[in-house]
Amino acid sequence: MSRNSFRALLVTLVCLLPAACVTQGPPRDLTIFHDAQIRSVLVVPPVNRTQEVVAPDYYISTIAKPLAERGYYVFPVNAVKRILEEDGLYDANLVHDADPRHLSELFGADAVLYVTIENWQAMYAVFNTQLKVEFTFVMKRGDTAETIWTNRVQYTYDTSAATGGQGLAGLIAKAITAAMERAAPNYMPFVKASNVRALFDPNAGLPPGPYLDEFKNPNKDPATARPGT
Amino acid sequence: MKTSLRPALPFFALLLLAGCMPPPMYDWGEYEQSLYNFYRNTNTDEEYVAALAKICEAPADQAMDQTASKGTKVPGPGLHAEYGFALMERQRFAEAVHHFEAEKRQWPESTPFMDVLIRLAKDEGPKDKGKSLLAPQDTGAKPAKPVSASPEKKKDKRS
Repeated sequence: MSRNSFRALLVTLVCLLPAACVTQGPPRDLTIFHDAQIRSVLVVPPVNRTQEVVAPDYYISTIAKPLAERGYYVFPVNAVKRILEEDGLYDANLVHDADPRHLSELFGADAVLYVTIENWQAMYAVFNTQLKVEFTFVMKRGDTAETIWTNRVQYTYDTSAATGGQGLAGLIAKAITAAMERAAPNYMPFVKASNVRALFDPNAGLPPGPYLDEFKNPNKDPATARPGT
Repeated sequence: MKTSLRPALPFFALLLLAGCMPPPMYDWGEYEQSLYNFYRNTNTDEEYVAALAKICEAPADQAMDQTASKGTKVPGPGLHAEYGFALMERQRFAEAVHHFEAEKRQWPESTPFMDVLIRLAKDEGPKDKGKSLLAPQDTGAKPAKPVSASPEKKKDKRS
């Protein structure tokens, strides 16, 4: 298979998938977003509304990639976090409360993305474990502090749904899976999936950024069409 | 070309789980996993640096500006900067500057921030201890303290 035909196949598949997984709603009014002409995004450490103290650190390792793949320049998340900490801003709440105009100016960012971890927990029952993560996203314009995009996603994963099987064998399998999840629940696949859902959803997701082809050719993605380009 | 299909397979698996993310435009290597491990267990910071090195060293200069045509992906945005920052924390200032410059070349959006970091790395000596990196740079002459000052970081195992 030549590289070109492989690419064609890939493009076809990629075009099909979004159509398959999300139903198209009425187009949003994205005037405010597009007026801002965002090219670069500063992700500040997330605010944590859960009991899980490690959640913000774990979370920050997952956001740069999907955001960049959505077509934006993303400032180095770990370096930014370290610099803010060096500056005494250990508390994400303080960072979130700070003036976004000030933050953007310091880093030269067009926009600031604030993530809040609303849920990050495992609920245990005898035969299954339910993992739940939930995030809110708020993007503010760097020069005016205006909110230009928000989204909220949650992802619930039930181990009983993952292990099929009926009768005793099924129950035992469920109990084993639940025990494993209890010992070391791995949230990361669900955190990553939540990010992708939050950013790429054609209805509520972040409109494609300047490094994405859809940005130049909005017909590919009518829900996020950019007027006048 | 059988070889070109194989790397895409894990991606399709991920796609099913995640929903709708298109194929990555950039090279992320083990960045996410190593950063996660790094946060999870501070003893893995060398692994984190190694992962960044793998993405950002050697091929970067040739791959630069050549994303699709060669089939080589450039490092994701921010990765040269992450690497440079990690090098700076290890007192490897010249290399740090090199990667800050690379970030700046590849991503013009990073210019103001990279300029701050380049000045910091070039300044090198830990003067002006008390001064904040984020303090407004009134003169621009004597920038900020080095961000390498964090006490719990072990310095340069390999020396």
